[in-house]
Amino acid sequence: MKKNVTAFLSASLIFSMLTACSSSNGGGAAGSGSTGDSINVGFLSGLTGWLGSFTKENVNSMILAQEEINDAGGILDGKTINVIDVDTASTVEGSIKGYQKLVNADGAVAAIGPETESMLALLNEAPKAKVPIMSAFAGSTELDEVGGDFAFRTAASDSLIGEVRAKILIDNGIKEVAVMVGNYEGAQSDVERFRETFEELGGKILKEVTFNIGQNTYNGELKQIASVNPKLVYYSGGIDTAPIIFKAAEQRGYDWEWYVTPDVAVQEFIDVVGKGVAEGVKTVIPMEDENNAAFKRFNENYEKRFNAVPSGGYYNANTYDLLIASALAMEAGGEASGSAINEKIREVTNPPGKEVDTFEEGLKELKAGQDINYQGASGPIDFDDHGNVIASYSLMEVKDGKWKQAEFYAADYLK
Amino acid sequence: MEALVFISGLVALGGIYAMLAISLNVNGGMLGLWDLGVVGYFALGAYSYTLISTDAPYGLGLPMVIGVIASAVITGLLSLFIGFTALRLRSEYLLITTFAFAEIIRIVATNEDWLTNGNVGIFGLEKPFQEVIPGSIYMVFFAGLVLAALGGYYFFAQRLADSPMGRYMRAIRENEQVTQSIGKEIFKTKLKVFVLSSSMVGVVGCFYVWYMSIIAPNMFYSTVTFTVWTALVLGGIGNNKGAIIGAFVLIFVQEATRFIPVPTEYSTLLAGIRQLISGMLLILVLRFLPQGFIAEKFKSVERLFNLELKNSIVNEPDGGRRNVAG
Repeated sequence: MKKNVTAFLSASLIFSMLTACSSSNGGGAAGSGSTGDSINVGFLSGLTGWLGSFTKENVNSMILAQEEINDAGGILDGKTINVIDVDTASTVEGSIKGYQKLVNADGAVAAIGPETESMLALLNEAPKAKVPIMSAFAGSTELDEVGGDFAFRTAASDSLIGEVRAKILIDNGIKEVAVMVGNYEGAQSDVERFRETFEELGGKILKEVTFNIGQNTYNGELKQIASVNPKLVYYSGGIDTAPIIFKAAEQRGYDWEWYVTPDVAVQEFIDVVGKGVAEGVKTVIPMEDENNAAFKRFNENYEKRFNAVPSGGYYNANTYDLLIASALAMEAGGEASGSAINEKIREVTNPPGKEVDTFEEGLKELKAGQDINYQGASGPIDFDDHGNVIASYSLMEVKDGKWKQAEFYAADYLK
Repeated sequence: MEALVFISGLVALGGIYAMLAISLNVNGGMLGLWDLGVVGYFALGAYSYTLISTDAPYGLGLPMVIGVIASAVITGLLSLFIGFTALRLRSEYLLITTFAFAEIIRIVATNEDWLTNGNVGIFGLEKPFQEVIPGSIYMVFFAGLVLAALGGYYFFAQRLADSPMGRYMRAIRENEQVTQSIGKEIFKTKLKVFVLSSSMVGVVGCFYVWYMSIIAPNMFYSTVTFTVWTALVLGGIGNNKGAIIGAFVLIFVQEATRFIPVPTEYSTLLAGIRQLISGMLLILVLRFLPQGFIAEKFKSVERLFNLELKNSIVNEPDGGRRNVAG
């Protein structure tokens, strides 16, 4: 009996501690979204779990944007931006819990970072809570026509990138490909539009093989691909499976040319599979021209601040742009709130208006009462009615153990 | 107000896991079945509900109540099949089989696009009384709904535990051969309880769908099963109150660790440490409270006749340890 009492006591102690902890935090911070000296902005994403490898650089990109805004004096007469990172463990359940914390306990004005499924899960919730969800890498075609009200993304839609990829292959005289696609939403959505466009333009998919994540071996899948003897294989899957497949293909002596998804366009891929295997692998990613001033500046600042080069496939510039654009929207709206962002973000990023490509410049123009058109590090950032942007694209290729831009395609390439 | 909504969100999720823990306690705790299929019945219930109550093109558009009933019936029917084939197996063999069934259910949901819309899933699902209670205050109502259902689950499970059936179940858990020797039907009982427990899990699937407003196969990985088992072990296997406390403590600890203030640069590190803390909690409980927060208690003959057996631990085969008098 005594033991039970102790157990009960300890349990209730933990309970009260937690409740006290959360309510004190909640009460204290609830109003700070609009009244305090700092404005809370959430970074809501998987810091652990399968998104973990993406987000560690994204966290840095948020810091970079935050520091740039605060160093320029903040917005709304000296209010600074405070980024709160919330880990979702890369699950939808984690995103919902995390979003509730950001909205109700932290009084955050925006939640930057959810992936496709979490965006879809929060789609109805965001307009109610009046805290926009903004994704830098949710590319799914499912989001093409449902966002726009408290839901935005700077990631290019898979439908667009699929079209661009197909057109680039056809333009380069490649008419036949085999496809390896991961059995998950992101990969399937990525291949869907590619397949349609490629076949429309006269190309032929020789074989499409679906693989599951976490298999011990992919020899069976590779054998199926080899049976049609393709010149080029398109790999649509994650960075977690890529090394196993690429090494196995190398060992079996398949000398196919490879195109991969943007997810694989990171330095770790080359480091893991080795320079020899990675050499010549190509990908099309939504990325600004390397010579674009804003993109160059972002890369240089990132390198200076964190002593590392940001990876093209991790949507770092897209993350950075979301925070800068949100801050400019709040300044334009004259209020530190999610509604101000929702209302003004198109106004500060879309034409007409004076083109600006830094936060400082934008702030100055807004203060002078000018209309602005923010040109981001990830592209021109013009949101359409459904909260999507049209991106420009780069063909990347591994040369001497590094991802290099081989070709640049402006946003109007498809037209 | 915001704080209330936030706490309600946690209470709702904690309540959902508590219902799962109680359902698992019925077959895993009281009957002693090593069941790793929880997430399978959970997914089945959730999908059954969604496909029946959601409007076309994905679902049949029937009323929510029918969806909830269907989730119990369909889960029950499939678990009848699973139980019939698997329950002849014992301990670790049953564990592997039920685990496999849960994986099969998820993989079917992943690959049968025509039925479940595959990996994309179905989003924007309706919640009960959503039109009546608009805005973020809905979460407070929903937490109340979950707590009411949890009350029902607790009441039912407690009645079951105190009934002759409950004693019978414990007898099977403690010593199957002896129970059989007095003429009881082991397999039939196991099957009955297994189907009952699975149906209970299936209905919780509806609440999960309401909480999430989306359904997709990647919500139903085996981590759900392990979370529920962890909650049950934390709270005390065999005890319904323990199941509830275990689930709430687990969810609250996971969330409370979010409030540890760290500079942004270290947030990735903290995210990893948070999971470490949950793990440490489990180890500490197992070390210092091996029976969980509350040990199993039941009305015993000894106590009924006031025999001098108070606080004696009766050691059972199979490593059982039961505090008879409590």
